Amino acid sequence: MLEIQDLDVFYGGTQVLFGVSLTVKKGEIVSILGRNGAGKSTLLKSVVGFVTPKQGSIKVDGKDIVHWPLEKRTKGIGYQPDTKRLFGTLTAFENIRVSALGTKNAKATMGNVEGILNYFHPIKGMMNRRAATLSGGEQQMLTLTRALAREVGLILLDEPSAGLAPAIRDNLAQAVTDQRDKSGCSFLIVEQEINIPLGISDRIYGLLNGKIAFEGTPKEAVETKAIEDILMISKKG
Amino acid sequence: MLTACKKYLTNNVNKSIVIVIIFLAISPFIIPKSIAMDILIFGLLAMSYGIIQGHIGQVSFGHAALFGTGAYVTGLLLYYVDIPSSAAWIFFPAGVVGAVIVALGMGALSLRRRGAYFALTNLALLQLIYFIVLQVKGLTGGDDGKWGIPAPTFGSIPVTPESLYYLYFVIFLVCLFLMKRMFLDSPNALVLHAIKQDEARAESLGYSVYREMLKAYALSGAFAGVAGAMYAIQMQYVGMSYLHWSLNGTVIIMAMLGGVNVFIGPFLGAAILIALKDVISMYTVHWQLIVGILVMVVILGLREGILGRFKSLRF
Repeated sequence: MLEIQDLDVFYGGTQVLFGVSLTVKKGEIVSILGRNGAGKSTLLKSVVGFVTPKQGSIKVDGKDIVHWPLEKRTKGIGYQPDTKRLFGTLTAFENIRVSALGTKNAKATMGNVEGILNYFHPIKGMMNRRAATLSGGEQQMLTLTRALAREVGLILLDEPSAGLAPAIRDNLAQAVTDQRDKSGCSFLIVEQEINIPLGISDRIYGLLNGKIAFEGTPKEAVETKAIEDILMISKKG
Repeated sequence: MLTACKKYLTNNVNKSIVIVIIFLAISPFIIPKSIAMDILIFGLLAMSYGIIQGHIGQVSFGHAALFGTGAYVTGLLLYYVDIPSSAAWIFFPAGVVGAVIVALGMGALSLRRRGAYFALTNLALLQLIYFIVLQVKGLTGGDDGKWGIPAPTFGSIPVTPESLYYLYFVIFLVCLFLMKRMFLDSPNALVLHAIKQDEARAESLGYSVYREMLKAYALSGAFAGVAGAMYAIQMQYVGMSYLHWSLNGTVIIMAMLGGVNVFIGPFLGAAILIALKDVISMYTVHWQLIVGILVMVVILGLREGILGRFKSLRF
């Protein structure tokens, strides 16, 4: 589904990603763990097209998309950005609708919405409110609904659990696996928090200072204590 | 039927539209006919400009090019092409098509840029068209324009100012409902409002910002072209003032006076400006001084225009 090879990304003169390679197969849930500034968000942004890599290839279904225009890439992608970029003056429902209309299959996307809102039930009754009037956690749930509902092959989530209440975090994990089982789409999730990725991922990558430092199953990640190193959980108490 | 009407009128935007329609329907009886005609035509022009500033979210200094193209294409075809006067109405849509083509060209070039660059690219393109029309004297009449454009007729019945007004009124209604459909009630409108707020985010949802904006710009051109064609037939004259840069200023003031984020805002602005000009110029030739002060007051005191404060009217 998604194949990234030897990706080098620079911000001005500063290199952020160093020869990153990773794959996400069809129907797979893959998480990238790493600390602040490790390059996780940049990696997702390169896939979406907000960042142009200096070198390397990004292939979706075998086609190199690096030189595709942004909207051509994003038609087939669901993306939840790290900052909640909702359209503030549109209502919650309109935010979802406008996202659905951007996909190739708007009808199927709108059909998914009801089911996904069941996981994020606190915002179910707020569909007619303007997005800007929602609280931080509510906005996060709305961005997640918007991204998860998209009837597309690949969904990218940038720190999806940020700002969510613990009970909703469990629902989020359930929503992701259910949506994968239902539509067969692939997930690439970026997180600092480890519980959800360890719980639902098929494979995990550890990103340290812009390089892939670990690759394996969640079980291996825990057993080898690789994750602790990458996230620096155990160091310095 | 009655309940359907009641339901329609629960919405404040619909109410405002009905008020505009009633006003235009009776205005020839309550205000001078020439003023009513100007309000209708320039109201439509201001609303077409409202699409650019209100929905695309950019200020354009080139809108006169679209109006002028509509007027010149219709006007010159009527002038030069010899066909029965009752069939000459087909030159009306020709002006609209001309305006759309010019809008596609201007939009294609200017929508690559934003803000001042967008505004000035449009101004440059308008000036280009202005000077071309000025130079091709043999065809356009240059500085003098073309006088005595034959008016189309209805069969053997000549067009009276009244019948022309009500024909335009019907065309205006069609435009009004098309605009409402395309820019208030459709998914397309939602996409444009999303783009206006955050282009990058809209792109990340799968939209070509450029293409969506170009569509809106071309539609704006179509409505400006309708206004231009109307004006050429009504005045039986086309001239350089239709393409003059100062017309942009007038249109922008009209739109901002009424409020660009309100569907009928630009229309109201046009009506107020035209009425004020008429009333004040009876007392002093310096009517622009008074209007200028009024515009300053509105811009400083009511930044969203006269109707912009009514939240239920805004989109």
